[in-house]
Amino acid sequence: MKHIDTKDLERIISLYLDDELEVEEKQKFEVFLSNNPSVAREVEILRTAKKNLSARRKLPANDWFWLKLASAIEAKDSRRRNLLPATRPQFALALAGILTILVVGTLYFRDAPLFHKFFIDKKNQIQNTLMTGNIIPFFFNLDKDDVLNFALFGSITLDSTNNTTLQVKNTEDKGSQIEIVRRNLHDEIPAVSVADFCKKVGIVKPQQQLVMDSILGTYKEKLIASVLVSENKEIAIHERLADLNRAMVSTIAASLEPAQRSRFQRILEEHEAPFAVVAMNAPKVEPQQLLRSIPRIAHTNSYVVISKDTISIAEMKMNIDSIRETVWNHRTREHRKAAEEMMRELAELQRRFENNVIIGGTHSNRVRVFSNENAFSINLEAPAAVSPEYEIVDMVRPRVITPPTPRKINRGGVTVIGDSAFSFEFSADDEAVRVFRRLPRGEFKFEIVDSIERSPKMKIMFKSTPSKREFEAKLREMRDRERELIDLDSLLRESERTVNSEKPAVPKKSPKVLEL
Amino acid sequence: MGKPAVININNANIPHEEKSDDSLIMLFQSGEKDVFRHLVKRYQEKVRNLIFSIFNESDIVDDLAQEVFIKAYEGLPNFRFQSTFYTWLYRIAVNRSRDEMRRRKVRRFFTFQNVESSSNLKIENLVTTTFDDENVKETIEQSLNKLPEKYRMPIILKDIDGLSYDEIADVLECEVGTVKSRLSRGRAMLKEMLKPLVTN
Repeated sequence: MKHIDTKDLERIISLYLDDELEVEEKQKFEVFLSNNPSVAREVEILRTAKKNLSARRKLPANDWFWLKLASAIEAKDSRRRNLLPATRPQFALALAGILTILVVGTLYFRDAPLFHKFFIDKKNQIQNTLMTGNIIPFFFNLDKDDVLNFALFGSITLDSTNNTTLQVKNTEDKGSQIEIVRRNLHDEIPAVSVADFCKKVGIVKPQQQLVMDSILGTYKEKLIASVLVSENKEIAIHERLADLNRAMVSTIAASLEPAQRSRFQRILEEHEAPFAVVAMNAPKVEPQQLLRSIPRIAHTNSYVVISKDTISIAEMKMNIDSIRETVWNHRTREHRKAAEEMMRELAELQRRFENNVIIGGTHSNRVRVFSNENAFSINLEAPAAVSPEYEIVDMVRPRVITPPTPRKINRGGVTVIGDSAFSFEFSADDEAVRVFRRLPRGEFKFEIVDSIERSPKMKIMFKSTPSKREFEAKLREMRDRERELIDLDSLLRESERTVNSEKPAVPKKSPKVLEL
Repeated sequence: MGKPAVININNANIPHEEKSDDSLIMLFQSGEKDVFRHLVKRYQEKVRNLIFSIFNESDIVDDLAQEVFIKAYEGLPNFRFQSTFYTWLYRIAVNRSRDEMRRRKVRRFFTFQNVESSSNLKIENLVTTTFDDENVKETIEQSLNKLPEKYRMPIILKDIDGLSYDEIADVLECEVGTVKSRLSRGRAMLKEMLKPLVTN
């Protein structure tokens, strides 16, 4: 083996590395290698590469895999079973249809004009409310970080420029709110990556990381199926998207150990997330139980369908397989473009929405639309009979953001709020800050409503005071005391200036009296 | 004359875990769908790791592996025992991965600038790494990921999964000769990428 052409050499090296050369050929090649150190070195590189690849790290085992797969197979099987002739729902429907035609036909001939009007009205209503054209999921390329951020903050970016955000809020028993918000450029969207989240919460064991990964993966599908878009620029949002948000937080909380759960709660608090964990000390729920409690995507779902002029609640059939197929066929770019265009138009049309929106669909009485300069929000009353869709281990409650203000009366600078609280407001200059700091906290429970950093005025709200008279008496006492204190402070400052003559003197300031 | 090869699929003395793939498939085909679980448990980690080797991303592994097994579940009633179960399963996994790669390619086309800048970054990193570094494995994997799919796949199946030439040919649905030539070409390309690191 004196000379080998390059292509042949490549082939022989490859066979040699795989130990596929005949004994004689192998010996000849080894002699060739000993005479050609450059080729020998190349063989060594490849041998090292091969050795390293065969010792490549393996993924940690996923004990959840079969469970998830079994659910998916079961769902597929049940769908297929429905198509069998004996159980085909169309049979029952067809029978019901024939009976209806017979009854309606008889009645129609008796009262034709009334029926005609009824059908025309219904037709118009359907044309106004339903989505048209191909329908595909809006979020077809979500990653698990997006899913986690939706779980934590209830918000998800709708357009590629990050200007429009979809936000959901759950208002406990009253229902939910879906908002499409135009974001100011300086507003930061809170974002936590899965890796950071695991690190902060203390999810270090590969097994627990897998559980987290599976939870997010399972909810990802649901989130994808929750926001749909049609090629005619209509957008459909699952009516129970806010419940999905709550269920996600609850499932994550349930999968954690109590200590991790309190760290999770801290993250939620830090980022002012819409939900807070309440069942801090409840034991960790087993992964299998958790996964079983996450519902599958139903066939028929209720969606809020938003078009340029209408908002309606419509029952829509969801075939996740055909949707996947559409996504697969790369027909998504146009849809996405159309949807983003609609987002921009919606931003322009907010005022129009306020006045001219038509609310349709069978459950339209549950929908209320509000809009302002930066957002329009759709408030949905909870359905009369709430299906137990998300009855998973509920470990969360909505975070209380602001205290309710039932009744406000302004009397001489003091705002009385309801029966047991009142507030007052004053300029937030140095003296005011001093007054605030010296307020008798033991006697009065209070909180700053507007912080001094943000507002030139300071507003303090008192809670659970004994009576207004007692409070006014206390205020007088405080004011007198503060005058003395402020005077004393001014004198002290003045004396300091005199001692330290190097410092430029500042003209004496007359003490300010608080106007209450 | 030898006995005809009859597999006693109902041998109650052997637990399902110990039955051969073919026995389990025959049971499946005779209506005992539950045995699929044993096939999954037997190969789930192999399939997951194969997908991980192809994409180097742990995020998508479980979703893709799930789709592979669903496809296998749907196709198993028509399995004709012309190849082994696991090469058939690998074939499904490879084809599904190819679909995913195609899909990504289309998406990458629309975000060309990002891809270009990120790939430049990777090359820079590679050049500054020496072959004896602790990162040697990562460097090799990065180089492998840069190979075109048709050369990369045989290397993954051969060097990572340890399949024979015949098995690779079965998985990739091509001739053994094609497997050999793709392996040698792929390795030559890999060697060219790794060579400067050794020289440095």
